Parts: sequence; structure tokens; C-alpha cells
Amino acid sequence: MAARLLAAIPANYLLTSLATATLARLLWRGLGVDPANASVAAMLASFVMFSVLALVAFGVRSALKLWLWMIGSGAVLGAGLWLSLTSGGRL
Amino acid sequence: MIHTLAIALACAAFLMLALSMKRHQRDLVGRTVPEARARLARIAGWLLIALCWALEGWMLGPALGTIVWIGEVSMGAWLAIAIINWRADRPAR
Amino acid sequence: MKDSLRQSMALFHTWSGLLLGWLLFAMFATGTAAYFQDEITRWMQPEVTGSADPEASAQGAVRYLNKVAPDAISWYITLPNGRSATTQVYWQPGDGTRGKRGETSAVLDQAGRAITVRETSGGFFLYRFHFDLHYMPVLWARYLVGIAAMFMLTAILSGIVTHKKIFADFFMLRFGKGQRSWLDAHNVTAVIALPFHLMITFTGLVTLASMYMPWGIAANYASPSVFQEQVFGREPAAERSGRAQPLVDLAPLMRAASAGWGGKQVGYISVTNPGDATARVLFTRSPGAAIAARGETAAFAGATGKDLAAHTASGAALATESVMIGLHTGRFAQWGLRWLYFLSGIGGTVMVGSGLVLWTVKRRARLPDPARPHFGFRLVERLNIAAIPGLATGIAVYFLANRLLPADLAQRPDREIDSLFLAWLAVGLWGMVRPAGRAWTETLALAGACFAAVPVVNALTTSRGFAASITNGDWLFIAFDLVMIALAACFLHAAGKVAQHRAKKAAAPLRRTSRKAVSQ
Repeated sequence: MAARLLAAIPANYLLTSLATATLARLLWRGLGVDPANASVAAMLASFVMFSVLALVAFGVRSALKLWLWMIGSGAVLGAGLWLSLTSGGRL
Repeated sequence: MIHTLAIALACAAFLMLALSMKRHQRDLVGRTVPEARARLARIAGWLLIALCWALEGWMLGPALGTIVWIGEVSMGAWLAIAIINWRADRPAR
Repeated sequence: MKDSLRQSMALFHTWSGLLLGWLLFAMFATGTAAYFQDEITRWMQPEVTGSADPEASAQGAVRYLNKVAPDAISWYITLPNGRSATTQVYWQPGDGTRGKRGETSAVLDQAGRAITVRETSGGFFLYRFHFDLHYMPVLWARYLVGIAAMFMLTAILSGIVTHKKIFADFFMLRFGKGQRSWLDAHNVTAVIALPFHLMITFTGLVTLASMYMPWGIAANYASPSVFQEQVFGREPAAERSGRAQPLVDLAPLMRAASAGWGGKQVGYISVTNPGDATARVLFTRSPGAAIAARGETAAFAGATGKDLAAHTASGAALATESVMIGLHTGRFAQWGLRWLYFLSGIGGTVMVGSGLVLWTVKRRARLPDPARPHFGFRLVERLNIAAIPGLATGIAVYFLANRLLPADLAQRPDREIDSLFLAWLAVGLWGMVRPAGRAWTETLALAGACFAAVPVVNALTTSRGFAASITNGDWLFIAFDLVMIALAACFLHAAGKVAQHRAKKAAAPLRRTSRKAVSQ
């Protein structure tokens, strides 16, 4: 239960933050949306993502798998964000 | 004025939907309703809800109309449940 | 597996609901009241009557500010609209100091005269409490409120996932049927207004989104101020040139701005460097004129009246955000829709409140010794009393204090707010020292009595009592009195129900337990 709580709240927030930042970068740099709209779109999506992830954290069968999956996607998102930030700066 | 009408329509719609479900028929009309009639009631119920939306959309425009419509449908549901409660209580007396 | 999913979701729903339920209840209750914040303010300033014309009020405000703050850095003017009759002005003094409240702001009538009404925070306080709370740093409060809202959103979603049956059983919901009645009250209010609950919770998060999820902006902007400049078009104020030049008449400019927005009215005016050749006037569209919260703007040169191209942010995401905030605050709503908002808000308040009570009702049956519950149970029960009748009494006392405190009391608005919290605290303490069942009856009755006292005290202390309001067709005051009476009736009815329930329980403890054994 503790593992799920940790996954559902703090880890979820970290992962959602990473995903939001990456999405904002992707929309702006990758898809040519203007930066203000890209940031706000990612921000709006983040609340949907957080709440769905929280439910998933309680719903999936194996807590171990959940954690592996979260760490994995977090690493991929983090790497993408880092690459994007080093390739082009912020306003 | 238009709100009152729409809420009444929504309430009627929910009563129709309730009427189309077997377990509420006895409470509402005191007997079971044949399947064909029940289906008719179901169609009428959904049609009325759609009609409410069309009415508000036409009067207030699609954006504002939809918002108002959601509020009115909720109020209609309140009324319908109150009516069903009242009807369900009666035979006991 | 299906069962374990349901179970863990139900567990999540129960405990997150309990932990944040008290806060959510206060947020829902005061937020619901805030849909009528302008009307509450008008009720709390009974000296102000009639209505005001926006254009004349703008001119009046400029006359006042020219006299009081000619060398200010900027002026901010909130114009009267259909719901308020006064102009609020606020200015940033030229010496760069931040003046105390009351020294750099004023409430004006249409002619630009400062009106000496009783000072009050009015409905604005209830609105701010809804997300800023009180007696604590605003930043903390907003994070707390955000956490509560996020839990609410997940609690709603988990409720939908686990209780799909609720929709099929929609018409089975029954009012006041014995043991199930709390569950049904929770379900009825949750299911019927589900679209409202989802909307209000999500859009509530959106209103403070850049605080809760700043990383989307941080990813593209090194500094949030660059983002704000792009979106809100806040340009750094130009230096004063030192060449004095009077401000042009604002009325024609207002008409021009309004015409540019398809006839929507101006709601706010800000003037930077007033009285200088570099003066700049910025009009913002009235929040009542369209759903989107971020109003259109129009800028003019203050000395010449020349139309300056105003920066307006656009784009699908920004527009969506703006509409979401507008939907949450409901400032665009006309009377009918405003009442629907209010009723839905009451439904939400009842949903949270009944959920809190449900927690104790469900567990009471399973207590090893119902006469002497364990500490956790007692704590929840007491906190429920403090949260539900306590806050209700507090709000009623807030209205009473507005009428009963002397008009010239120092820091009157703060004293009004203090009386709300003192009453709340008193009810909370009362709930701690009395036996729980009796405390429920007494505090509910007290809340009812306080609401019932509001119209009476209003009639005794002002000339705008119920009878006078009826003869004058003063709908705002009539409606306020009626809402108070309705609230009083609800609380007194609830107090009676609890008393009845306790009497029955005391009379037939044996019969109750045996019947329960049969039903299980």
C-alpha cells in the first residue's frame, strides 16, 4: 500500500511534471505551436494525466511493475527533455 | 421563463426514461408497460433531452446554450427523482 | 482482480475524501456563496442604492483620482455593472510606496464622490476564502486548496470507475429512507450534478494551474515574466516625461473600445502615468459580457486619445484556458444561470458534507462498543460538527456582525471576519465538550437560529427590511432574506431529524440491533 501511495502521489507528480515539460517543448520545438500556447496546452493536459495516473497506481495488479514502468517512462521523458533543452534554449 | 420550460421538459424526459425501465413502471403508473410502449418512452425521453439542448442552443447560441442545458438537465433530474420518490411512497399508505 | 480494483478504489475514495473533506466542504460552501459575491456585498452595504451608469462613473472616477492622486504611477478603476452600483478605484502612489489599505483605494458613486458606507469585505471575503483561506500565508493556502481539488478530481473519477452501477440505479435513489439515507444523499447529489462537479473541480485547478504545474511554462521560458508579458501584454510602464497634459475624456474612448468588441461593455480601466504626456489608458472587457475570463483589451494614448494597437494573446490553448476559468467563476452568468450555479454549488456542498457524515455512520454500526467509540472515530465526529454546523454558523454570524458592529469601528472589515471565525471556533469547542449526538442537534439548531436571525436583525437595523423590500420591489434584499430563511429551515429541520433519530435509538436499542441482524 505504501508503495502505491508513493507512486500515486509524489512519484506521479514528478512524472507528470516531466511529461508536461516535455510536451510543452515538443509542441513548441517539434510541432511549431507558439510557445505560450504550447505551455498552456501541456499545463491543461497535466491535470488529466495526474488524475489518471493516480487511479492507475491503485488499479494495477503489481506494484513492482508499476514502479518499473514509471521509472522507465520517467527516464525516457527526462532524456528527451534534456536533449531538447540542450539543443535549443528557453525564452 | 425559458429556464422553467426547459427544466420541465428535462424532468418529463427523465420520467419517460424511468417509465421505460421495468422496475419503476409499477411505482409510476401502477402497472407494467408493454415492451413496445417502453421503447417508445425511452426514445421520447432521449428526444426530449435533445430537444432541450436544441432549444437552448437556438436561444442562446451553442456555447452558452450547452452550459445552461447541463444545468437545466441536472435540475430536471432532481425534480424527476423527487416525483418518483413521492409516487413510490404512495401505495404504502 | 475486478474486486480488488474496486476495493482499492473504494479505499482511496473513502480516505482521501475524509482527509480533505473538511477543507473541501469549506471551499464548496464559500465558493457557492461567492457566485453571489456582488449581491452579498450590496446587502452588506445597505446604504448604497440604485444603479450607476458605467460611462458617467468612469468620468466621475477620473475627477476623483485627479484630485486625490494626480501624480500616481497608475490608476485602476473597476466600473459598476448590472450587479454592482459602485466604482472601486485603487492607485499606486507616485512615491513608489505601497500604501495601507484604505489609503490608496476608495469606493465611489457615479459622480465620483467617495461614499462613506460601512466598511466591509462583503462577498469578496467569501470569494477569497474559497481559495486563499485566512490567517495563513496565501501561498500555502493555495497549495492546500490545490491538493484538495486534485484529490477531489481523482475521487470523482474513482467514484465513476467503481460505481458504474449508480447510473443504472439512477432512479432507485431515495430520500430519507432510514440507514441508507446518508448514502443516498451522497449519491443523489454526486450523480445528478456530476457534470457540474467534474467541470468545477477541473476548471478550479486550471484557475491556479501555473502555480500547481509551472513546468510547462518553465520548459519554454527561462522566466515566467516573459510568458506573462506575451500573454497579458503587460508592458513596463514608460517613464514619466514630465510634460503635464490632461487626460482626454474617457467616455468616447470607452464607446470606441466597446464597438471594437462587438458591443461588449468595458469592465476595468487602468491608466498609467495619468496627467502626463506619456499617459496610457487600457480598457478591459467586462467579465459579465462573455464566457472567457480573460477579457479583450484596448489601449489608447491618454493625452491624445489615439488608438494604440493593444496586444491580445490568442491561440486555441489560451482560449480554452480562458473559457475554463470563465466557466469556473461564472461571472458571465445571467440571473437564471447564476441560480443554477448556486444550486449546483449547494448540491456539491451537500455531497461533501453527507460524505463526511457517511464515514461515521458506516463505522458506527461496526464499532465494538457503540457507547464508547475509539479516539479516531470521536475525532472525526467532532471535526464534522466543527466543519458543517460550525462553518454555517460562522457565515450567518458574519452577516449578523455586519449589521450589529458599530459603523465607525476601527478596522471594521477585519472585525467582521474575526467574528466569523470566533463563532466557528466556539461551535467547534462546543462540539468537543458535549456528547456527540446532543452536540449535533444543538449546533445544527444554532446554525438555523443564526440564519433565521439575519432577516430579523436586518429589518431592525436598516430601513430595508423584508416588508419594505416587498413594497419597493427590492429583489436583491427579498432574495437574500428568503435564502436566509430557507437555510434556517434546512438546518432546523436537520436538527429536528437528528433529535428524532436519537430519541428512537434511545427507545429501542434492542429492536434496532435485532433488525439489523436479520437484514444482514
